[in-house]
Amino acid sequence: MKIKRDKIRILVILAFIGLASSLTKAQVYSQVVGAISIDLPAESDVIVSFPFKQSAEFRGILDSAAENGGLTLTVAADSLTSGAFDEAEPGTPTHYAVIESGTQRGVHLDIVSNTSSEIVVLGGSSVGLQNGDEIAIYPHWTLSSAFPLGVANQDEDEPGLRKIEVIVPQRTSSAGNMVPEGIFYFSGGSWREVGAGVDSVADNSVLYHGRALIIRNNDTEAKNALFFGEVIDAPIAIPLSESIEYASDNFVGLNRPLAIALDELGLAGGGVFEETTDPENPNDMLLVYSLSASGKNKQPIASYYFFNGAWREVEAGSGVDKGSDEIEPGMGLAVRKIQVGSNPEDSNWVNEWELPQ
Amino acid sequence: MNMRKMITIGSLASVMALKGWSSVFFTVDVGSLQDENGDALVNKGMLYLISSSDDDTFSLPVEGAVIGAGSDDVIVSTWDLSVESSQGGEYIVSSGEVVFDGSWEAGNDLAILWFPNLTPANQTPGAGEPYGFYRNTSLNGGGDAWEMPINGTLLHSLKFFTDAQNPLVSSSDVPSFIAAAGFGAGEPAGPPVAPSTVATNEDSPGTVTFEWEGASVPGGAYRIERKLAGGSDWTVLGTVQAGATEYNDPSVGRGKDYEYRLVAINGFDSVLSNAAPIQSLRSSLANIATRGLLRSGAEGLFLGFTIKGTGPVEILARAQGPELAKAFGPNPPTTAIDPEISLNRTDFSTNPISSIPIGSNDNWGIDDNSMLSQLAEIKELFDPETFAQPNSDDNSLDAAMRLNLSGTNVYTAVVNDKGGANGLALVEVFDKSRQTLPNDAQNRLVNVATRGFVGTGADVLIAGFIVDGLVDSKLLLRGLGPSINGLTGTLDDPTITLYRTDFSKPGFPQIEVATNDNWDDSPNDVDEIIAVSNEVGAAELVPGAKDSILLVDAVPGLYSFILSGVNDGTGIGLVEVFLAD
Repeated sequence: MKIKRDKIRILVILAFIGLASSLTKAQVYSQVVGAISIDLPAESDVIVSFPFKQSAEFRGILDSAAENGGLTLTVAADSLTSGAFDEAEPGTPTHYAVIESGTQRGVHLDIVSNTSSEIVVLGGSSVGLQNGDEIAIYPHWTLSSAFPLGVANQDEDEPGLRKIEVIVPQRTSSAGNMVPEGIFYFSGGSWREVGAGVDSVADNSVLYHGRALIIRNNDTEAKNALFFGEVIDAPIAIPLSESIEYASDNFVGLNRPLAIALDELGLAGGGVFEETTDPENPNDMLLVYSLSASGKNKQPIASYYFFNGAWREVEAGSGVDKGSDEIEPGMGLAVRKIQVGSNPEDSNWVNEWELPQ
Repeated sequence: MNMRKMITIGSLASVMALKGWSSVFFTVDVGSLQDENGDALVNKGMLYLISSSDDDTFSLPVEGAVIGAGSDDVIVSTWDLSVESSQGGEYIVSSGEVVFDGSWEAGNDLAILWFPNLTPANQTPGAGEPYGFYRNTSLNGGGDAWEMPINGTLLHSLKFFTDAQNPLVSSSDVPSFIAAAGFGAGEPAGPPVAPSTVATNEDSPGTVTFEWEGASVPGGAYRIERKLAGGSDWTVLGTVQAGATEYNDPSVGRGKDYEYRLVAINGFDSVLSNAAPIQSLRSSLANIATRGLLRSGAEGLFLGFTIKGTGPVEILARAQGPELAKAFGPNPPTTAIDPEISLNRTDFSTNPISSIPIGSNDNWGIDDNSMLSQLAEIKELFDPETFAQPNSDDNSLDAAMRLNLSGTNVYTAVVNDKGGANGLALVEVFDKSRQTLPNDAQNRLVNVATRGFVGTGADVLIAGFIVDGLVDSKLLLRGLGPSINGLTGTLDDPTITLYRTDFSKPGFPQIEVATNDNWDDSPNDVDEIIAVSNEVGAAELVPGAKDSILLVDAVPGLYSFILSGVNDGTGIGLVEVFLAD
């Protein structure tokens, strides 16, 4: 695979800015911010992942974790503002917690509610969590926080002829399918959802971390999407699913601002990604979507499997080590988990990455 | 490398074969659906997305079934409009994941049907159950093709917008009647049929009638379109219902080469008729005749006219003194004794602009250039070839010339009285092309003007002209004084009045049509005057100028146009008549 880097312009990258949270009694950290511009070819889809996070609203140390019907994380007394991270409505989280050290490092957990010291999260497990683990709380990206003026500042004056659509695919679907979970557009200064009426407001729709999204440019002119935020240099755990009914495509986003070689992904070799033993019948695969190619309803430009200790590409054959191929920042990916005979399990692909010195 | 290529590489194909099902996802944008009465379909009814079978025909609803019995058409997706958001019949709906049925094929035609009175609990049409049908066959509307996409398509967007106002789009050229539930279950329906014959006429001057035979458009209507011959843009004139066989167009311009066509439109398709041409009627400026004092030098009579077009045109130019005296009867005023006329063509290619002599004549029975008599040729142009009344004396000292002119040019006829009488004279130009009702490409008189001395009483400047034809003509009439450049002694404050001779009444009285003192006075429409002036090439006057202008729609007839001075003012004045259509 050869990726055209000129289609991605890292406009501003890695400026160190001191960010002081005024919301909590958190420590003050210096964070790295950046911006990435991604071309949106005319009449084309671009499958992307959001390469940045928003600023943490809390950073602290885990006191304890307990499962009482749900997972509750406890931090120092009076270190949180009660209710500050509550769901907007049931099922719509506003914030997520990230375990940034320890055995669950990189795990992201949507927050249901919080008191001044306790955080109730959705799902998750207390196994391996222990006193002293670092924890941070971030606001979710929403459509309005990620693209406050629309993608490419496109405010649709004709909602029926949408020039830009943001398609959020289902997290997982059967192999070969990418199924929209929601389709959004920006009109009249607000985000709207297809099917909800032209006056509906979808500004607070969450763009979940670690997931890919599709920006469809229906216009006959190319446009440009700008992504801006803080660099995620902590471990990222990306959940992957499998099925006993079909091979499963997990549409994921690797939220990193710089290119990463396949060998540096941390996907293979840890038991999460099933290695291939017969190149004629690959097991799990990593599918990569072009950021620059034109056209809608895109298919992957490259499909990789892990065989005999190295990444291989279907087109190149099993004898070529493709571990140096790079995933560009903002690229959308799919991890295809093979169909399993029984006991399907969810797993986390943990990517560890640090800013180059 | 794309997926299609991957599938072709031998045994690996089996590896990439999809495990599980594949799907497609649709969105449908419509604006704005209507019920069987043409009212907006808001929060009621059912909407269906249908895929045709391989034969690309749709099995239409019958009593008891949305899809006719025995058809392999399929319902791809269904929406209960009572729970979809809408303000006035517009909807943006999405299908959710639609599993791609094994019997489907990419490329099968898609259509939508809407039943205003069905519900999720009752999806069984009764006999004659109203429904609407639409499939986009022209790929307009801004969406994807109305065909089944390939298996695995992320998002296939179908659009259907009409020209009815809705919040989804600002405009569409699909007539809104298409969105009505105009069909009945089990009743005849299907694509429209183009007319077998089309024709045009202008039996009623000013209104073109477009007629057709043999057309049908079940559940739809006809859209009537017009364009100028040679042009590419068709203008939609209007729509008429399915039973109509003619359309009257009163918006025709004068002397235009038009083409008309019919577009039969219903939800199934649209078909075009052949184009029917017509050249619309126009009236012409048949002549201008100006009577005024014929003095010497700058106070002589100057008659300018413009010929526009490509072909030759026959012009008769006359300057009469002795003949005019006869018209006054036994006690005529002082008239010119021996008028002489010289014709020049203005050459705009030189700097400064120059005049090129075309010819001259002293006595109309003798051609001054050839010294041969042009008498017979001139007489050929007398009434009825033109409106020129015959001269009574072949040997009079009046002047005349017959001219064959071509191309678009500006001419000036300069008249002097060799007898030096300082009396009245009549200067005239007649256009023979009135016989052919010229269209835009043919030559004709489009502008005439006379400059002369404006006196008082009988010595005011009087221009007469004839609008010849069957339809009215827009005329720009100007009486200038202060805005005449380069001369002294011009009329300070002219006023003009237009009269038409009423031949229907005894004595043929002069009926005042309009009058104006200062050009930007009420009720003149200053903006329209400026626009028309620019179109015809008349220099725009400054605001507040005391010159006079009239813009009139002149019915065919004989007109007199009097230029005089306010408060009996005198001086050099200029009268102009421009044909503005």
